[in-house]
Amino acid sequence: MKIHYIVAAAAVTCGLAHSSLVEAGQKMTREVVIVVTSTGRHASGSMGSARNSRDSVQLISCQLGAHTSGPATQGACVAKDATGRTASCAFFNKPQFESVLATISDDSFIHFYWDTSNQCTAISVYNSSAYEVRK
Amino acid sequence: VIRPALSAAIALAVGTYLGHHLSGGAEESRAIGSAPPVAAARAERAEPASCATLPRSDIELLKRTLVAAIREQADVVSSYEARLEPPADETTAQSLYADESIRARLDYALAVGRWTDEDSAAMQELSSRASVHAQRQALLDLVSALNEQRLELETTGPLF
Repeated sequence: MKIHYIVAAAAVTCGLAHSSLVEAGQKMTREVVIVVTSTGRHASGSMGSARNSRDSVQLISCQLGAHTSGPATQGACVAKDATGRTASCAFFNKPQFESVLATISDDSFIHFYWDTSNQCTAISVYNSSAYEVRK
Repeated sequence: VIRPALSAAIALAVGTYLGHHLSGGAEESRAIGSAPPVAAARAERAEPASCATLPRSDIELLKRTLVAAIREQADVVSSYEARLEPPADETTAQSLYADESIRARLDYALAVGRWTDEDSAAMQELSSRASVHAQRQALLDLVSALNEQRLELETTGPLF
Protein backbone atom coordinates (compact mmCIF):
# COMPACT_ATOMS: atom_id res chain seq x y z
CA MET A 1 0.00 0.00 0.00
CA LYS A 2 2.85 2.29 0.96
CA ILE A 3 4.55 1.57 -2.33
CA HIS A 4 1.42 2.59 -4.22
CA TYR A 5 1.38 5.96 -2.47
CA ILE A 6 5.04 6.49 -3.32
CA VAL A 7 4.49 5.62 -6.97
CA ALA A 8 1.44 7.88 -7.16
CA ALA A 9 3.31 10.78 -5.57
CA ALA A 10 6.24 10.29 -7.94
CA ALA A 11 3.89 10.26 -10.90
CA VAL A 12 2.21 13.49 -9.79
CA THR A 13 5.61 15.13 -9.25
CA CYS A 14 6.85 14.05 -12.66
CA GLY A 15 3.61 15.22 -14.25
CA LEU A 16 3.89 18.65 -12.64
CA ALA A 17 7.53 18.95 -13.65
CA HIS A 18 6.74 17.93 -17.20
CA SER A 19 3.81 20.32 -17.36
CA SER A 20 5.85 23.26 -16.12
CA LEU A 21 8.43 22.63 -18.82
CA VAL A 22 5.88 22.32 -21.61
CA GLU A 23 3.76 25.28 -20.50
CA ALA A 24 6.64 27.70 -20.03
CA GLY A 25 5.83 31.29 -20.97
CA GLN A 26 2.56 33.11 -21.40
CA LYS A 27 0.14 31.72 -23.87
CA MET A 28 -2.95 33.47 -25.09
CA THR A 29 -5.68 32.20 -27.29
CA ARG A 30 -7.48 34.96 -29.11
CA GLU A 31 -10.22 33.61 -31.29
CA VAL A 32 -12.12 35.91 -33.60
CA VAL A 33 -14.49 38.34 -31.90
CA ILE A 34 -16.78 40.76 -33.72
CA VAL A 35 -18.34 43.62 -31.81
CA VAL A 36 -20.97 45.87 -33.35
CA THR A 37 -22.71 48.30 -31.02
CA SER A 38 -24.24 51.71 -31.32
CA THR A 39 -20.95 53.22 -30.24
CA GLY A 40 -18.45 51.24 -32.25
CA ARG A 41 -17.63 48.48 -34.66
CA HIS A 42 -14.54 46.38 -34.40
CA ALA A 43 -13.23 42.88 -34.90
CA SER A 44 -10.15 41.12 -33.62
CA GLY A 45 -8.39 37.83 -33.34
CA SER A 46 -5.03 36.21 -33.67
CA MET A 47 -4.07 34.46 -36.84
CA GLY A 48 -2.89 31.40 -34.89
CA SER A 49 -6.02 31.07 -32.77
CA ALA A 50 -8.33 31.49 -35.75
CA ARG A 51 -6.38 28.93 -37.71
CA ASN A 52 -6.16 26.44 -34.83
CA SER A 53 -9.76 26.85 -33.69
CA ARG A 54 -11.84 23.70 -33.47
CA ASP A 55 -14.33 25.00 -35.97
CA SER A 56 -13.53 25.33 -39.63
CA VAL A 57 -15.15 28.73 -39.84
CA GLN A 58 -13.01 31.37 -38.16
CA LEU A 59 -10.64 33.54 -40.07
CA ILE A 60 -9.07 36.93 -39.88
CA SER A 61 -7.13 38.57 -42.68
CA CYS A 62 -6.08 41.82 -44.24
CA GLN A 63 -5.37 42.48 -47.88
CA LEU A 64 -3.60 45.22 -49.76
CA GLY A 65 -3.63 45.69 -53.52
CA ALA A 66 -3.25 48.14 -56.36
CA HIS A 67 -4.08 48.42 -60.03
CA THR A 68 -2.59 50.95 -62.38
CA SER A 69 -6.09 52.05 -63.30
CA GLY A 70 -7.43 52.26 -59.77
CA PRO A 71 -6.75 54.07 -56.55
CA ALA A 72 -3.05 54.08 -55.65
CA THR A 73 -3.77 51.35 -53.14
CA GLN A 74 -6.84 49.73 -51.74
CA GLY A 75 -7.15 47.28 -48.94
CA ALA A 76 -9.55 45.45 -46.72
CA CYS A 77 -9.63 43.50 -43.47
CA VAL A 78 -12.04 40.64 -42.92
CA ALA A 79 -12.99 38.63 -39.87
CA LYS A 80 -15.33 35.69 -39.49
CA ASP A 81 -16.21 34.39 -36.05
CA ALA A 82 -17.13 30.88 -34.97
CA THR A 83 -20.82 31.50 -35.65
CA GLY A 84 -20.09 32.45 -39.25
CA ARG A 85 -20.75 36.14 -38.76
CA THR A 86 -18.57 38.29 -40.99
CA ALA A 87 -17.12 41.75 -40.47
CA SER A 88 -15.00 43.71 -42.88
CA CYS A 89 -13.80 47.15 -43.80
CA ALA A 90 -12.10 48.76 -46.77
CA PHE A 91 -9.62 51.58 -47.19
CA PHE A 92 -8.18 53.54 -50.09
CA ASN A 93 -4.85 55.33 -50.35
CA LYS A 94 -3.96 55.11 -46.66
CA PRO A 95 -0.18 54.87 -46.31
CA GLN A 96 -0.50 54.64 -42.53
CA PHE A 97 -2.55 51.44 -42.85
CA GLU A 98 -0.18 50.05 -45.43
CA SER A 99 2.71 50.45 -43.00
CA VAL A 100 0.78 48.64 -40.30
CA LEU A 101 -0.21 45.79 -42.59
CA ALA A 102 3.42 45.31 -43.52
CA THR A 103 4.10 44.19 -39.92
CA ILE A 104 1.59 41.33 -39.94
CA SER A 105 3.14 37.92 -39.44
CA ASP A 106 1.67 34.43 -39.33
CA ASP A 107 1.04 34.71 -35.61
CA SER A 108 -0.10 38.32 -35.32
CA PHE A 109 -3.10 39.55 -33.43
CA ILE A 110 -5.16 41.86 -35.66
CA HIS A 111 -7.69 44.39 -34.48
CA PHE A 112 -9.60 46.63 -36.86
CA TYR A 113 -12.31 49.25 -36.55
CA TRP A 114 -14.67 50.67 -39.13
CA ASP A 115 -17.26 53.41 -39.50
CA THR A 116 -20.84 53.48 -40.75
CA SER A 117 -19.63 53.76 -44.34
CA ASN A 118 -17.68 50.50 -43.84
CA GLN A 119 -14.32 52.18 -44.23
CA CYS A 120 -11.55 51.17 -41.87
CA THR A 121 -10.85 53.79 -39.23
CA ALA A 122 -8.07 51.96 -37.36
CA ILE A 123 -6.00 48.84 -37.80
CA SER A 124 -3.73 47.48 -35.07
CA VAL A 125 -1.32 44.61 -35.31
CA TYR A 126 0.22 43.00 -32.23
CA ASN A 127 3.12 40.64 -32.44
CA SER A 128 3.78 38.75 -29.23
CA SER A 129 5.29 35.48 -28.08
CA ALA A 130 2.10 34.93 -26.13
CA TYR A 131 -0.06 34.53 -29.19
CA GLU A 132 -0.80 31.12 -30.45
CA VAL A 133 1.36 29.87 -33.26
CA ARG A 134 -0.36 28.65 -36.36
CA LYS A 135 -0.14 24.87 -36.68
CA VAL B 1 -10.57 76.54 -84.70
CA ILE B 2 -7.26 75.26 -85.94
CA ARG B 3 -7.39 75.83 -89.69
CA PRO B 4 -8.09 79.57 -89.59
CA ALA B 5 -5.33 79.83 -87.02
CA LEU B 6 -2.96 77.94 -89.29
CA SER B 7 -3.87 80.12 -92.25
CA ALA B 8 -3.38 83.20 -90.12
CA ALA B 9 0.02 81.93 -88.99
CA ILE B 10 1.12 81.27 -92.56
CA ALA B 11 -0.12 84.67 -93.68
CA LEU B 12 1.67 86.22 -90.74
CA ALA B 13 4.87 84.35 -91.58
CA VAL B 14 4.70 85.43 -95.23
CA GLY B 15 3.84 88.97 -94.25
CA THR B 16 6.65 89.06 -91.72
CA TYR B 17 9.09 87.74 -94.24
CA LEU B 18 8.04 90.07 -97.00
CA GLY B 19 7.96 93.04 -94.65
CA HIS B 20 11.39 92.16 -93.40
CA HIS B 21 12.68 91.54 -96.89
CA LEU B 22 11.30 94.77 -98.33
CA SER B 23 12.20 97.07 -95.49
CA GLY B 24 15.52 95.33 -95.08
CA GLY B 25 16.25 95.87 -98.75
CA ALA B 26 15.35 99.54 -98.54
CA GLU B 27 17.56 100.05 -95.53
CA GLU B 28 20.35 98.26 -97.24
CA SER B 29 19.98 100.55 -100.24
CA ARG B 30 20.14 103.58 -98.02
CA ALA B 31 22.99 102.18 -96.05
CA ILE B 32 25.20 101.56 -98.97
CA GLY B 33 24.01 104.72 -100.66
CA SER B 34 23.95 103.11 -104.05
CA ALA B 35 20.62 104.69 -104.83
CA PRO B 36 18.71 107.66 -103.43
CA PRO B 37 15.67 106.92 -101.20
CA VAL B 38 13.25 108.04 -103.90
CA ALA B 39 14.78 105.69 -106.40
CA ALA B 40 14.71 102.89 -103.93
CA ALA B 41 11.06 103.52 -103.18
CA ARG B 42 10.34 103.64 -106.86
CA ALA B 43 12.16 100.39 -107.37
CA GLU B 44 10.06 98.71 -104.66
CA ARG B 45 6.88 99.84 -106.33
CA ALA B 46 8.16 98.87 -109.74
CA GLU B 47 9.22 95.36 -108.71
CA PRO B 48 7.00 93.93 -105.97
CA ALA B 49 8.54 90.86 -104.35
CA SER B 50 7.36 87.52 -105.66
CA CYS B 51 8.71 84.01 -105.67
CA ALA B 52 9.69 84.47 -109.27
CA THR B 53 11.91 87.44 -108.45
CA LEU B 54 13.23 86.27 -105.07
CA PRO B 55 16.71 84.85 -104.89
CA ARG B 56 17.03 81.18 -104.00
CA SER B 57 18.35 81.95 -100.51
CA ASP B 58 15.31 84.10 -99.77
CA ILE B 59 12.98 81.36 -100.94
CA GLU B 60 14.79 78.98 -98.58
CA LEU B 61 14.35 81.48 -95.77
CA LEU B 62 10.67 81.83 -96.58
CA LYS B 63 10.32 78.07 -96.66
CA ARG B 64 12.00 77.75 -93.26
CA THR B 65 9.76 80.46 -91.84
CA LEU B 66 6.68 78.69 -93.15
CA VAL B 67 7.82 75.32 -91.83
CA ALA B 68 8.45 76.87 -88.41
CA ALA B 69 4.99 78.46 -88.44
CA ILE B 70 3.38 75.16 -89.44
CA ARG B 71 5.29 73.31 -86.73
CA GLU B 72 4.18 75.86 -84.20
CA GLN B 73 0.60 75.32 -85.26
CA ALA B 74 1.08 71.56 -85.13
CA ASP B 75 2.12 71.95 -81.50
CA VAL B 76 -1.04 73.94 -80.89
CA VAL B 77 -3.07 71.17 -82.51
CA SER B 78 -1.30 68.52 -80.42
CA SER B 79 -1.94 70.33 -77.19
CA TYR B 80 -5.54 70.92 -78.25
CA GLU B 81 -5.98 67.22 -79.00
CA ALA B 82 -4.31 66.32 -75.72
CA ARG B 83 -6.89 68.40 -73.94
CA LEU B 84 -9.61 66.54 -75.81
CA GLU B 85 -8.24 63.13 -74.78
CA PRO B 86 -10.09 61.72 -71.80
CA PRO B 87 -8.14 61.50 -68.55
CA ALA B 88 -7.05 58.03 -67.43
CA ASP B 89 -10.01 57.59 -65.15
CA GLU B 90 -12.64 58.87 -67.53
CA THR B 91 -14.97 56.27 -68.81
CA THR B 92 -13.83 54.59 -71.99
CA ALA B 93 -15.60 51.79 -73.78
CA GLN B 94 -13.31 49.24 -72.15
CA SER B 95 -13.60 50.57 -68.63
CA LEU B 96 -17.35 51.02 -69.06
CA TYR B 97 -17.62 47.32 -69.87
CA ALA B 98 -15.43 46.45 -66.87
CA ASP B 99 -17.45 48.75 -64.62
CA GLU B 100 -20.69 47.08 -65.67
CA SER B 101 -19.17 43.61 -65.34
CA ILE B 102 -18.01 44.27 -61.78
CA ARG B 103 -21.45 45.56 -60.90
CA ALA B 104 -23.07 42.51 -62.52
CA ARG B 105 -20.72 40.16 -60.67
CA LEU B 106 -21.55 41.73 -57.35
CA ASP B 107 -25.28 41.71 -58.11
CA TYR B 108 -25.11 38.04 -59.03
CA ALA B 109 -23.23 37.21 -55.83
CA LEU B 110 -25.81 39.13 -53.82
CA ALA B 111 -28.62 37.24 -55.56
CA VAL B 112 -26.96 33.92 -54.75
CA GLY B 113 -25.90 35.09 -51.30
CA ARG B 114 -22.29 33.94 -51.57
CA TRP B 115 -18.91 35.51 -52.28
CA THR B 116 -16.62 32.83 -53.65
CA ASP B 117 -13.05 32.51 -54.90
CA GLU B 118 -14.39 32.77 -58.46
CA ASP B 119 -16.08 36.06 -57.63
CA SER B 120 -12.91 37.32 -56.02
CA ALA B 121 -10.79 36.36 -59.02
CA ALA B 122 -13.27 37.93 -61.43
CA MET B 123 -13.35 41.15 -59.44
CA GLN B 124 -9.58 41.26 -59.37
CA GLU B 125 -9.37 40.75 -63.13
CA LEU B 126 -12.07 43.29 -63.94
CA SER B 127 -10.65 45.84 -61.53
CA SER B 128 -7.51 46.10 -63.64
CA ARG B 129 -9.66 47.60 -66.40
CA ALA B 130 -12.38 49.34 -64.45
CA SER B 131 -12.54 52.99 -63.52
CA VAL B 132 -11.30 54.20 -60.15
CA HIS B 133 -14.84 54.99 -59.11
CA ALA B 134 -16.14 51.53 -60.01
CA GLN B 135 -13.30 49.77 -58.19
CA ARG B 136 -13.82 51.81 -55.09
CA GLN B 137 -17.60 51.46 -55.16
CA ALA B 138 -17.41 47.71 -55.76
CA LEU B 139 -15.15 47.17 -52.75
CA LEU B 140 -17.33 49.35 -50.52
CA ASP B 141 -20.47 47.53 -51.68
CA LEU B 142 -18.79 44.21 -51.04
CA VAL B 143 -17.74 44.99 -47.47
CA SER B 144 -21.13 46.56 -46.83
CA ALA B 145 -22.89 43.37 -47.95
CA LEU B 146 -20.57 41.26 -45.81
CA ASN B 147 -21.16 43.41 -42.75
CA GLU B 148 -24.90 43.24 -43.25
CA GLN B 149 -24.59 39.45 -43.60
CA ARG B 150 -26.18 39.62 -47.05
CA LEU B 151 -23.23 37.70 -48.42
CA GLU B 152 -21.73 34.54 -47.05
CA LEU B 153 -17.96 34.75 -47.25
CA GLU B 154 -16.75 31.56 -48.91
CA THR B 155 -13.37 32.64 -50.18
CA THR B 156 -10.30 30.71 -49.23
CA GLY B 157 -7.99 33.36 -50.63
CA PRO B 158 -8.13 37.10 -51.21
CA LEU B 159 -11.39 38.97 -50.73
CA PHE B 160 -11.10 40.90 -54.00
